[in-house]
Parts: sequence; structure tokens; C-alpha cells
Amino acid sequence: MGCVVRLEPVRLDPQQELATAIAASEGVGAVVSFVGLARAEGGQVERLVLEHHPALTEQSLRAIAAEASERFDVTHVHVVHRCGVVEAGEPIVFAAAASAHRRAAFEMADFLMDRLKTDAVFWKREEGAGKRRWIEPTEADYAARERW
Amino acid sequence: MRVAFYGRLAEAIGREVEIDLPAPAAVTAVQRRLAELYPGSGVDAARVRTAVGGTIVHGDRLVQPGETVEILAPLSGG
Repeated sequence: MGCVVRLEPVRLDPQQELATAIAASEGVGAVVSFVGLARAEGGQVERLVLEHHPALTEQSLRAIAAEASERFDVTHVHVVHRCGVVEAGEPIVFAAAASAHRRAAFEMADFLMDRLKTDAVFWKREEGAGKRRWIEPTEADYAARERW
Repeated sequence: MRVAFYGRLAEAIGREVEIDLPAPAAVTAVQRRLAELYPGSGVDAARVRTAVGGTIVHGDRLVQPGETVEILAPLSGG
């Protein structure tokens, strides 16, 4: 089972990551990917600042990928997450799963994102329009986590 | 004892402080002292966690001389 987990401090290129995930999938039938973007919220948000911990953040990403690998019948899991300053509209996270058949790949990608939204060790704040706002998971995020 | 803060706690208190609590000391003692020193900062909020040496720890963990305690504000998630 292949696994790519990476914290990316500068720039995330979803097309490059998808190409890498497909190449690593070793000819299986399905690759499902997700890209999360920094929302501009109607122009109110100019950037997200993602603070991370030097050890715990990458540990949390690896733990989430490992749990996903145990739960689903997939051949490759690929998670890349930005840290630092992300301008509105830029990609924040790339998550992909490769499997012999599409169902496991879809479910794993869904699981990865539900876990990342609540368990990944980041502290995020929105900045824009002269304001700063710290972000916490919503009740919907916690409910999504409990689906699994 | 050196204490580092992450997330909104670093904004409220500072990135790193030195507190008047000699080591060894239990994490619960550190948490109590921080709540006394920084009332209203959220340092004792429900989802605040503590780490030492790159590992999340519980209240009974003893902090040894030279170790830095890391107080993690509630996570934002990814």
C-alpha cells in the first residue's frame, strides 16, 4: 500500500499531486481526489493563515492516512496539506485514494476529508477587510466525523 | 518553566513565556498556574490540550527540568 503524506509550506499544485497519485496507483481502476480551496467569502477574506506544530501536525496527517488505509481497501493514499499563508482561492489541501474499484476510493476520500476537518493539528485564522477571525470546526464538521 | 502557546492562545498570551513553577511538576499544576496567571485568556478551556516533547500528554505527566510545555488552543482542523 502506497502512501504520500506531506505538509507543504509554499504552494500546492493539485494537478501535479493528481498526476503523482495516478502514477503511484499501479494501474488500478479508480483514483478519487479532492481539492479544498481557501474561500474568499464574497471578498471578505483575503487569506487564511494556517499555523502548525513542528511535530504534531505531520503526525496527525499520518495518523489520519493510516486509519484510512486500515478501514478501506485501497492501494494508495495521498494527502498534501498547506501550512502558512494561503491566499483566497488557492488550494489548501489535496486528498486522493486509489483502489481497484471506485466505491472504496470515493469512501476513503470522503473519510479523509471528514477526519482532516476535525483532527488535523492546525490553527487557522481568516484575515481580510481589516479583520482577523480564528476558525474552529463547525457542528456540521463534528457530525460528519461521527458518521464513520 | 518554559511554556509555549499555539493558536489563539499565542495571540492572547504570547508565543512563549517563562512561569514561576519549578520542575518537576505535574501538567495539572502547570495548567492551574497558567489559569491563575492568565485569567480570561481561554488557557483552561475545554478543548485545550497539552504537549511535552512532541507528544500530547495528560494531567499526571511530570514535566522535568529543561522541558518545554506546549499549550495547544482548540484545533481549527484542516
